[in-house]
Amino acid sequence: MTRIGRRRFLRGLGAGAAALPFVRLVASSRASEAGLPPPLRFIGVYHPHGIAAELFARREGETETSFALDYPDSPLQPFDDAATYGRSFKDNIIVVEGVDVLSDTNAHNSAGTILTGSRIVGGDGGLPWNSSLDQFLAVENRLGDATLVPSIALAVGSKQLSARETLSFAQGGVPVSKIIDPAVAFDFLFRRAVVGADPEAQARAERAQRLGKSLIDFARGDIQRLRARVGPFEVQKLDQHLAALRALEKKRDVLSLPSGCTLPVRPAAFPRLERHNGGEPYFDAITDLHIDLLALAMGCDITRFGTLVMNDLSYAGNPLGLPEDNHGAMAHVYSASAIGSSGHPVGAGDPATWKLLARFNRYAYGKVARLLQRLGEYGILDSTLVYASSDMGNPATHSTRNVPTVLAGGLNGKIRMGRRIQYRSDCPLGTWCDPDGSDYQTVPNNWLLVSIAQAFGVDVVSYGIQAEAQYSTGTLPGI
Amino acid sequence: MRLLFFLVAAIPRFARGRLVAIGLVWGWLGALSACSTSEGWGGPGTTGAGGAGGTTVRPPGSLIPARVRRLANAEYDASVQALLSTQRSPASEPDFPPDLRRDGFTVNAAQRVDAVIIERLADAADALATEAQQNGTLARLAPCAPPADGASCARTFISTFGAKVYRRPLIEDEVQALLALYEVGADGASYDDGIAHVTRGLLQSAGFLYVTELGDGTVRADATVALTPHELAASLAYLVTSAPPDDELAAKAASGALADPVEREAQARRLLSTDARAQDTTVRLVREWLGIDRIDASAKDSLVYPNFENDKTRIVAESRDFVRAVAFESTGDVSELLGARWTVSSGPVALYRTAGDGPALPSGPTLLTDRVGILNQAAFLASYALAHESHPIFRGVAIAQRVTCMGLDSPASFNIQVIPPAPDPTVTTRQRYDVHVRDSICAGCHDIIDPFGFAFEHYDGTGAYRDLDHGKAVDSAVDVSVARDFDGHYADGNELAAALAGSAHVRECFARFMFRAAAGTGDGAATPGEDEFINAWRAAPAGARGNIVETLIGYVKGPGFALRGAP
Repeated sequence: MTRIGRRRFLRGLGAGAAALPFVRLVASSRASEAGLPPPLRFIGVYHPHGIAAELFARREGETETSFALDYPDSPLQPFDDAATYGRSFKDNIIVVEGVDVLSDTNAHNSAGTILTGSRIVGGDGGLPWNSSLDQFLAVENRLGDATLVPSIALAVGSKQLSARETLSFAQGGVPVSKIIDPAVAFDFLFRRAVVGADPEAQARAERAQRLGKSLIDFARGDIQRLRARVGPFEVQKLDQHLAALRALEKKRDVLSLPSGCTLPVRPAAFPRLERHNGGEPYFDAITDLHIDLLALAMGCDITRFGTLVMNDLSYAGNPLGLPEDNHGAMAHVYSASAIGSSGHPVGAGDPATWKLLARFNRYAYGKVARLLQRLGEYGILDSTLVYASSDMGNPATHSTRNVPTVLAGGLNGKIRMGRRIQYRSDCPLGTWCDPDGSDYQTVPNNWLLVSIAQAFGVDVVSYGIQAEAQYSTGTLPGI
Repeated sequence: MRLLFFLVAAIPRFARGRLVAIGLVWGWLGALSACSTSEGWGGPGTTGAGGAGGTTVRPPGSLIPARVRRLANAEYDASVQALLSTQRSPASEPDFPPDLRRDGFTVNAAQRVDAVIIERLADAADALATEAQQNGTLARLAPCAPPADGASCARTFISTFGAKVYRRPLIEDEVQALLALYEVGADGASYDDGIAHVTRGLLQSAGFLYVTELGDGTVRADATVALTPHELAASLAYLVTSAPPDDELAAKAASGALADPVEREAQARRLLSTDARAQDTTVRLVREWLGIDRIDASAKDSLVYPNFENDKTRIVAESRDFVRAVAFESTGDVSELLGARWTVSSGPVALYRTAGDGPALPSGPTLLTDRVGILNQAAFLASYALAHESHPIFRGVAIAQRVTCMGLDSPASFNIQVIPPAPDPTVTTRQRYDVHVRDSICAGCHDIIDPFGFAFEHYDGTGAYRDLDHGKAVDSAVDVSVARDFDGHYADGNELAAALAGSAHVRECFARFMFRAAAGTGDGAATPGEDEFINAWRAAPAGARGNIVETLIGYVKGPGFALRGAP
């Protein structure tokens, strides 16, 4: 393969990405033809490095429904930027403060708690105990059976299956493999047999169908023979294998896209994909392609459940002018005031560090805004729920309290958007309270997961394995 | 006992001079039991060992429960290579998802087949079957000469080749299901096409992808199940070679000989001395134990360490070749792994000098070095470092947990927020961590961790030697005082490594990690059977106890190898 310069590659990419077709009002029009509400979709998004709380928090004098997003240095600006994203999304989001992620481990390993609500067990290489919300809905509750692809887990720059950088977990807290290459994501979502019209091609396709079906049937029978011999814990593994087989089976069918939905161009292969391996300069373009493909797949009702693990811009000459070491020289120099330390009086902090971190936060929320833009173009924004979060609140202190939480979409009106909600996790003594103390009060993200599950019609009262039932039980008040 | 909660905030970097940490203590002190130096093996706790056989029910947790285990990526590759003589390594290709690791080990019972992996497996099965049909492999494995007809040849192929794939004889239901595949594949096509289709199915089957440890369904009086002879052969083969049983092992299985630990030992030794894959496996286990296989996929800040990309090949090769040489050309003892004054490498000699020019060192693949053992080699030092500087705490924790089994809990379990020291170019790395010494709460655990890490401060984030760190002289002198047989004052990492190399405690810790590697449970919870294994290990002759290969053989011979807890 000839080596082409990075800049030339990225320029060429821009043209290709613009070729992804517009699909207007496909899914919602099909559903409304049948007199049904549009199907519900869920997208989980992870963005690293916490938040500059001073610039994220609701400001003095604002209320839950009366607020601005476009003040100077606001990381939330992209949600009210019609010039860039086609429209304002102020009425389509909820900005939530005060939610804690109870991972019970190093904050860096806490991404695994965002969609599972589970403590991370097993130290540094630890994993959550239970499945993530997207897998719980799509697989265990079979909501993904309605589409060709039950769910997809996308990531930028890293395939590593640790709680540090994984959102999607199958039953038992086992990480779901992540796709980091947009071309592979394309294949996973759209690759199907392309059948010529001539009789020979038709006959070949028909034979391929029979062969493929026979392999699936054989594999299923073989797994079930083994399943009958194992104990209840091992059954979980084989059930996951059977679910994967069902997903594969659907892909044997020739893809027939709904009318108005055109197969996109397969993305070009990137010269580099992975972190620590020269992939960083391509992360921005990869993220955009992942977003566009995911939204298109949802718009064409190929899938209704997806997660995206974003990465940062840790390379020299990044377009935001951030230090090359985003982690050490941006996240860890953030110097919070009381707002960024969950109310603890640590001093005035350093506003220059807030603005630096907020610059990255704005970049991340810009990606979420792009996702909302695409979902809106496909007419499915109002029937989707996007849950965007980081693993930390204050990244310099590795705090998992007051983790930035942004919801977007609407789930057909089940969740009222256009709000800024502040929960109060009472901890007057500072960032760390004694959980057994009378003044300890946390608002765990578990309650949000329960609320979302209920909005999807799944009747749960708790979500996620925690030490105390109260932390995993109940809905998020006011949501 | 209540645990301590506190907040440590770093003054922003506009403070002049060194980092000043403010410790604000809320609540009250409690015992930090996880950082005590009392006897305890850290990592998984275990219950007492049960008796061997007899009719008493074994205590819960003394045996691994009956289970199935998905092949790890390296095992999958070795299996398809053994079955079809292919050169391909499908599970090592870039698009194939990485292994899920438990406790750092790739072979474990937590691995699954998910929606992405199943597609890669399907693609691989297709590519392998097509290749095997086109290059005549299948014709050789499934001959069919008249008067035999396709279906009966297919049945023969299914019974013989299928038994190799499943690592046991097939039952009639399985044969029938595979014959149905043959019929579909051959319909409107040829016998060869039918055989290729059977092959596709076999490579995606549960019988192939999962190693079973279930027994034959009979539960013994003591609530255990005994692995079947074929399961014993498969477990032994994969443990020692990462590959399925060869013909001789399969024959021993069929005769029932492997129930005898002496026979298992003989087979393990045979494989270790004759099968190159056994050497690769041993190297992999050691590298996964120390976590230095991470170096294969890591990179460094190109501004600070511009040569790292070029050096990486040498660093990786050294870590593999050195372990192989210790295990198979020298004493094979963990004390040599940690204490050797030689290494195997193609790099320039200057890389192995600690100071100045000194006397000429012999060149060539095996060369004497000023560095002692694997902990002072670049692979370990660079694995446990940041992209742009050394990280004595990473190194210290790795040694505390993986080499000395000091069993530290993470700070988060005490609700302690870990705040890394702010960058400060005027002080050394060690000085920036001095809050650990000054703060008595940190010191509880860091008095254990930090000496292990600071001893190696003469090595930067790539493992290169340095006398200066941020312009100041490196201070690598440490005092280790943890009530173990390697306590002492050490001038640097070399002296510390030499002490660890001579430690009986370290030898036992290594044995425990080899047990965990072999058992493949590794989820931080109790590793069943570990105490029983160690009791037997302690009874072995002194020379055998630190020996890498002998430790694995000990696992193979133990009752925990052949038994599982009933489901």
